[in-house]
Amino acid sequence: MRGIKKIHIIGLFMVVLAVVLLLSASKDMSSYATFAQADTSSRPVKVVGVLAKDKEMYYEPAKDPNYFSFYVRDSDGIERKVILHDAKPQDFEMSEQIVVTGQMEQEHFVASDLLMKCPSKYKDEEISVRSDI
Amino acid sequence: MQEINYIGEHLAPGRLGQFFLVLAFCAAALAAVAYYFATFRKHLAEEALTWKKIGRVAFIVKAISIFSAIGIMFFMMINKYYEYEYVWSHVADYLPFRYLFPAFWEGQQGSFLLWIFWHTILGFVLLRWAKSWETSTLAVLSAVQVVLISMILGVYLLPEFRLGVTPFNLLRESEGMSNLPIFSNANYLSMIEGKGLNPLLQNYWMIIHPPTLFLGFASVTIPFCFAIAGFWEKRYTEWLKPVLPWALFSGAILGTGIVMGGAWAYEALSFGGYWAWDPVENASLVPWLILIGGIHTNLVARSTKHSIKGTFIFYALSFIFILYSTFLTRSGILGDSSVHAFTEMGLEWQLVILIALFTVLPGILYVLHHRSVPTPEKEESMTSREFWMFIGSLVLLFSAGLITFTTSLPVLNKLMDVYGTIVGQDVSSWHKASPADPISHYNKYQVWIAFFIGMLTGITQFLIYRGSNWPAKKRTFYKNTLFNLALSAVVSFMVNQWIKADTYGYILLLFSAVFAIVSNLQYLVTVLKFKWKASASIFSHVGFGLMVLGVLASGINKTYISNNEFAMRGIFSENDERLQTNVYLIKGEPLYMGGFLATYVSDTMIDHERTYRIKFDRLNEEKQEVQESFELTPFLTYNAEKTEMVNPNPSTKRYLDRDIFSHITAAPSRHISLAAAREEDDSLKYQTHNFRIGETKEIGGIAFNFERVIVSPVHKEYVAEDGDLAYGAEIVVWDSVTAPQSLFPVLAIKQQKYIYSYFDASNKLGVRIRITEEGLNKVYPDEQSLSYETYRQKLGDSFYFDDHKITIAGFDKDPVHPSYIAKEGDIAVAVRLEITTPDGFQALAKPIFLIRDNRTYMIRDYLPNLGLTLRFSSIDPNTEELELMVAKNNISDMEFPVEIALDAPRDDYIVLAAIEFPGINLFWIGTTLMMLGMLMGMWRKIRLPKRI
Repeated sequence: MRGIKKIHIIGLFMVVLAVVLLLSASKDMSSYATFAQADTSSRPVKVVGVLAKDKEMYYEPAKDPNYFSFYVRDSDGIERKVILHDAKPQDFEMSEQIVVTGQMEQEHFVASDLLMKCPSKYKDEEISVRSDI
Repeated sequence: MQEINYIGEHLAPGRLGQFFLVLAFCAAALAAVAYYFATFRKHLAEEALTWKKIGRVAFIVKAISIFSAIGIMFFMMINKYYEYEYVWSHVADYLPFRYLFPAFWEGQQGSFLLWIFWHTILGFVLLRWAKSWETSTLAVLSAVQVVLISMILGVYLLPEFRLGVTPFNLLRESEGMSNLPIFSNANYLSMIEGKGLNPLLQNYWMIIHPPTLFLGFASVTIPFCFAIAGFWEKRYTEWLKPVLPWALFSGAILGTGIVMGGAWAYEALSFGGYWAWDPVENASLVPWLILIGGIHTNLVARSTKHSIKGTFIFYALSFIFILYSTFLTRSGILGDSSVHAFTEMGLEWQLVILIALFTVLPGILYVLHHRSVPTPEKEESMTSREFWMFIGSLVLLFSAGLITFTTSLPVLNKLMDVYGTIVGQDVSSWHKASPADPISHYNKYQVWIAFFIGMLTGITQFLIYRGSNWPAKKRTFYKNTLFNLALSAVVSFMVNQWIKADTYGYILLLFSAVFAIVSNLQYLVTVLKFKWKASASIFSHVGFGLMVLGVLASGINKTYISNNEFAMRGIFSENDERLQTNVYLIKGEPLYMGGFLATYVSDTMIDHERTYRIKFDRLNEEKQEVQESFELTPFLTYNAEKTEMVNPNPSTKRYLDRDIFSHITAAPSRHISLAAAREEDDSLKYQTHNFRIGETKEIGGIAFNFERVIVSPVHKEYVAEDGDLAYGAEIVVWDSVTAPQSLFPVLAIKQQKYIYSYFDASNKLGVRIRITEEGLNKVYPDEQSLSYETYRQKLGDSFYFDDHKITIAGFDKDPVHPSYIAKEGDIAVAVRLEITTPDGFQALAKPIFLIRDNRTYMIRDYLPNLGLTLRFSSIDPNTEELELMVAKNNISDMEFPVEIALDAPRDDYIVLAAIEFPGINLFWIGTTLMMLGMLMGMWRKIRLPKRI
């Protein structure tokens, strides 16, 4: 058995530090939630849902180019108005699934980030037929 | 089921290509085995030589097979053989030649081929120059190749188990497609068109970024091969020298590939940045960080024999993490947490096996050999260079570990699920999602890591290997270090006048970056005395410092100039920058934003791109004078049919000290997609109003005057074709404040069945106007409803019809008429009739007399605004008399329905985001210097093998 070297001590220290940092980093991690859980959460959460297409989608750039609101239905079927302080993303209506990151502020869910899953135009199992035939 | 003989398919290239893939797989396997024995049996010179020869031949056969398979792929893509799924998925008729390259590596199989291609090229270098290392390194490389080629093999080992997915698969045999009804048509091939390349990738960066990145990926394998070879052959110290140039090469190329990815994101995508801590970006950064750590332990090991095992571990890990990143990006596990990831292809388990295999192999070797590795008796002293270099490497590994942890959340969730199934419990509530704010999450830790690295690069340069002669050198070391610390403090203070870092973390990071630059430059001047050949590390370390400064400058001071403080005032709190990222610009109306007067000047559609010209006038403090003017031209790219916008492309104004970056975040629906425009039009509340020609009505405070009917209408979206039935109208609109403006809606019936209505709109009045099919029947009256009067006249004669004076002015031998399509053998003559109305208006009619296939036809001419129909029914060759028929419908009594919407949105605006990035050039210069330094180091290690 060889003696313990300084380098081992430093290595051990780094491992401990890494564990500590990762534990504290896990606070940064958001968690998936429903709107019902988001109501009570004081931290930002991610809500997975679908766009409620029957509800109003509001984007009037002439009035405010940084305000877009829409309704999302979560996995429990609860619908909430979501506000995004940015331009309306392209192909938004086409989204199959939406992940919004943010917090409830009064009645609305204010999203800091939005991720859409779209049926890609380039992946679908369809064969386009030549238009000139 | 009946066999179908498909027409026009080219089956030979696919079969040949598949043959080459299988041959390459077998040859790689043979090469691995032969090189293994050539190494294993090295003590038996003759046998080893035979094995080596077999290995070489097998390797060359494999190389030829791979090149041939790639050649066949390109051949199929150039010739657009859509019968092959890969060609069909990535190529389209319209795709220009240069984009065949990105189309080639867009898909999984193509990128695997690219990777294998680079492995093969690098393998040749080993074969030619690795000398005594040839057999062992190529044995490992060939084994890696076997597994990689298996990913694109597409051979069924068992009826249910397919090994890899081949790029030579036929479309009609591919999964999910084979049952489509189109394939019951023997001639399906003439009916299909390829899907084409994702427009995001139709960019020159996509021609150079993937080959560089994959060369980087491939090159990380070589240090791994050397590490394995060194332990396997028990040449524990010998491998440290030949591996170094390879590691430096790999570091430079992989780094360049990563930075190119950032450049692509910055220039072609609208992320508004060069690095977003996206899982896929991280996945290639992690192996690079570990590799850089490995290069440093390698230098230590070569000079002191310390950390040989460390070097082995670093190089093995960097390769394992290349495989892990391949798994992350190609297994589909990242799902929607990344924008870059490939879609699933059923390779997940094969990828897991790949990682397991090449983790276990070095693991076993390490366990078996680590006790035999020579280790110096004496421990590294704290005052030695190697001690601190090793610490630096550990910091890099540490950084890689932290990044990997967060990037791997989806994998951890999956592992929890596996555990959940084992214990029979639903653990989905344990799942963690990626950080709500990933950038601040990563930055929080990486700031400190970069700080340590910066400090270490500055201090360690002045230390000496083994800390030899420390007591004597001590004074100089402290003197230099203190001097540099003091100088850096001053310089940092000055630099921070510009960067304005305001948190402890950022200020310390700024200081450490300056310290790295200052110390390394001082080392260059005082110790190296400008010996450029020995200054590779100086380049890299100064580059690192500059890069960090660039990140700080552009990150901290990134400002949205696209915020209009007037519009926002009172709505949001002043400091909430997030809320003020976009501005609304109306064509021709300048808007003040962030020191500029921005004007949306025009937009032009050329091919598949709509380019917007936006003029920026920089104003001085008092907003009185224009100090500088320039134009930015962001553009939208459309799909092949031009029916839909697919990608907004940014435009950047570059200065030495900053960039101004702009992109379009929203545009009117007619610029976005036809479907959206139609939907929007449908949602408007149109009301029908009837107008006589010349009539004026006031509706909702706006005056509408139906000026006239147009028979050959022009509209920017209407393309007139033979056989169209179309009319248009000129309608003048105005209100009490807006000057009259003519609108020209058009209605067309194409191929006698499709009705197209093209509206026209006034953005100022919010009015949109359409005309209807009903009006078309009035414009083109039914023959039955007309009662003609017949006239017989000669050329030059005039006659009167309903107070209109009609003069036969001449003939036209090549008549042109909207409803006349000339045919070979036609005898067609138009007569020019000059008409003067009772009010003195002049008009011209050209009815046609036509003989086709011995039968006579008349093609009438109709003047809708006069209500006159004129026919040229015959000509008497003897008397030279023409028979003309004239009829009138009382169009002036008719009412034309006009659909008017008063709530129409504008369609002459854009929503723009414009961002200023100060100091971004420091980032590009810094990264370039870093890579350049590594290339210099590599060059020096190759050219001057004798000296340090």
